[in-house]
Amino acid sequence: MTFPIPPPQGVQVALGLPEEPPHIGIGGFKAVYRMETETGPEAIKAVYVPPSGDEDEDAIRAQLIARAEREIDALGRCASSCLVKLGSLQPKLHTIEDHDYLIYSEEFLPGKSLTGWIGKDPPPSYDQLLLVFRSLIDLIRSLSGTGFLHRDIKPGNVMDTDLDDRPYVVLDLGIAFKMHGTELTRGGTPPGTLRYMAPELLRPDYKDVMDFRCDLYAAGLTVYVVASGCHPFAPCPEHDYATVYRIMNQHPRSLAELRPDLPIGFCAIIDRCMRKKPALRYSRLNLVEQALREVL
Amino acid sequence: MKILAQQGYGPKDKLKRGLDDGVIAGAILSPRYLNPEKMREKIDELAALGGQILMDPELYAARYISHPAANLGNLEMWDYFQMPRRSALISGKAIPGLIETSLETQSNLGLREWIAPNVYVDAADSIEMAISLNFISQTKEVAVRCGDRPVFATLALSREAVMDRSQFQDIFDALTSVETPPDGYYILMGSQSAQDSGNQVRSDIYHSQVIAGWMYMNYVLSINGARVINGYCHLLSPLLGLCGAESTASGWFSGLRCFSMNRYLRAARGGGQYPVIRYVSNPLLARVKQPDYMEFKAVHPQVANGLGCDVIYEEGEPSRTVEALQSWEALSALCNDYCSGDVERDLPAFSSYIDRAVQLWTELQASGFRQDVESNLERMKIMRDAIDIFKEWAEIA
Repeated sequence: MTFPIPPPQGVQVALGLPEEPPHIGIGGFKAVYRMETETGPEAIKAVYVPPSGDEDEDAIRAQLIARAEREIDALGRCASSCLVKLGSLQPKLHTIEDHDYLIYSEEFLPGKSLTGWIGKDPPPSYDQLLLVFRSLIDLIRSLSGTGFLHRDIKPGNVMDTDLDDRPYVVLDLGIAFKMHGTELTRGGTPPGTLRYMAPELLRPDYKDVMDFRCDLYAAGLTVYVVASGCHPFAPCPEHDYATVYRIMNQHPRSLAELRPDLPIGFCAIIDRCMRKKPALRYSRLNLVEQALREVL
Repeated sequence: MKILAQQGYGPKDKLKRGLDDGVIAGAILSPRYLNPEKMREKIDELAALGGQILMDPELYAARYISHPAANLGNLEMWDYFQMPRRSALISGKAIPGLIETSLETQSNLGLREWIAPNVYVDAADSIEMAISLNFISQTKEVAVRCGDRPVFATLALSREAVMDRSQFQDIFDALTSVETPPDGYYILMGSQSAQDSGNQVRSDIYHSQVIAGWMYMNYVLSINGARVINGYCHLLSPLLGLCGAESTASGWFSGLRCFSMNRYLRAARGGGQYPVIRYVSNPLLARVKQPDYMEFKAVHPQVANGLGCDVIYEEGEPSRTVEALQSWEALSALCNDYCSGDVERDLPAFSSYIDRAVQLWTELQASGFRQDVESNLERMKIMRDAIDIFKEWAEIA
């Protein structure tokens, strides 16, 4: 489904900005612009809200608003420096060219996503991979501590910022899930990026069985993909059914086989995060940290 | 990996000698066979010798309190041994109290580690499973209130619960997400056999999927930081140990080597023969009758373990106490050799050990021995199959 992207001029008028904010990205039902403020640049997020109409349209509208509100709620609660922070614009519904958008802002982060690392020569070093993994674990700890799951951890959502204190920051909590919260997703398929979904998210009863371990799986897979340069379940564009089959049934080669230069203990941790059954992953994040200490 | 004594009827001096000789590392005592006063005496006696002393509260047997054929021994003399209304278990209201009274009893007995009570689970998708998970999830919190000793939650499952593969594996996804997990688990795998004869119960447990499930439980719980003790496991000890068990327990009668809830009911026909004295041959991975052992050994000396108790068997049929000591000695040696803590290394090594046992049984068969050979070969095959199934479940390449 596509959505009407609001023109920068419309955003400028709606927000009363002194100049047009350049359009810098798009994702899902969200257009992103850059805005200069006194404290530095921020990213304006304009979430498209479909019009009211029949029952289905109303439901989609309500869901999109709820998702955006959830993302903002999670951003506000999460203390991890590895998650993008809220900006100065509080969420508010605006109408631009007859379309409704929920607009708010986040900090603007310089840098590029980790997708650029995939297949890079030379591949990312152990120090880089360890730092990425630690950042993701820190984020998962912080989110799960406030009752949230990210549900869309993947290389494209991890920014390599070049900031000394926050080298890797995760974006896009648009499909965050609040454990024990109200149901947002309609239908039987979870939102997120199929290639990075934990096997349990592909079950019809996924809402009953998922916990932070699905984020842990995605974190392990993210590190595996950027480290090895290949995706174990979707090595090339193919039909979703093939990807689903692989996620459910195929065991990836150990990372140690693909990156023999990495410490074997680190590879074993990443491999374990990617186990099919949640019980075979780490049941507590301090076990991951303990395992990392043992590698070091 | 440690071997513990599973205490039952007629311990005499077996536990003391087992600890003295260093063939057991401790004991799991049974309130069914020891009233509160005797229990205290036994704990004091054994504690003086060192070792790990635990008491299984056996609350799961309380389901038979009103059963006309109940055979609960001293259990009803214990204050904690009561079964509230089922509705109070389902709602969870009764659970903290049941755990607390049991742990306080163990605390007052001077035990330094506790086993928390639980119900017995007949099926993976049963209400009892939900009740059992509720017991487990509350165990540590209650233990902290009772003095915060290391506490093992009981997980007593029937083989049928394990045979329901997908439900069984889902249970462990749930169990490993308990917010305040216990320090460890005390696992019982129960036969569903309607008959309490040792052979029936053993053949019920010796099923490749049941053994694989038991191994899987040990693996999942131990990799997630829990200590795991297994009751009533005898020759399955090495398989559980190489999957991460901290200890396994076994006793001197068949009812202490495999678990069945029927042990808490009077047998339809009372009495029976006293079992013959047997020798645990590690190379054969079997318990063989003492005379058979001597005959086997004359043809194939490698059936002997080469351990301290062997010499007593050569002097004729030993006492029941020596039989128990020999059994623990053999299991300890086997587990020391094959349970290093590295499952990916130990699994193929123990598979090869089973292959050598198969070879030995085949050679005995070729030498003219017939009795029990086929059944033991079948048991070896079950163990090999169990390893393959476990590897698949545990996602081990």
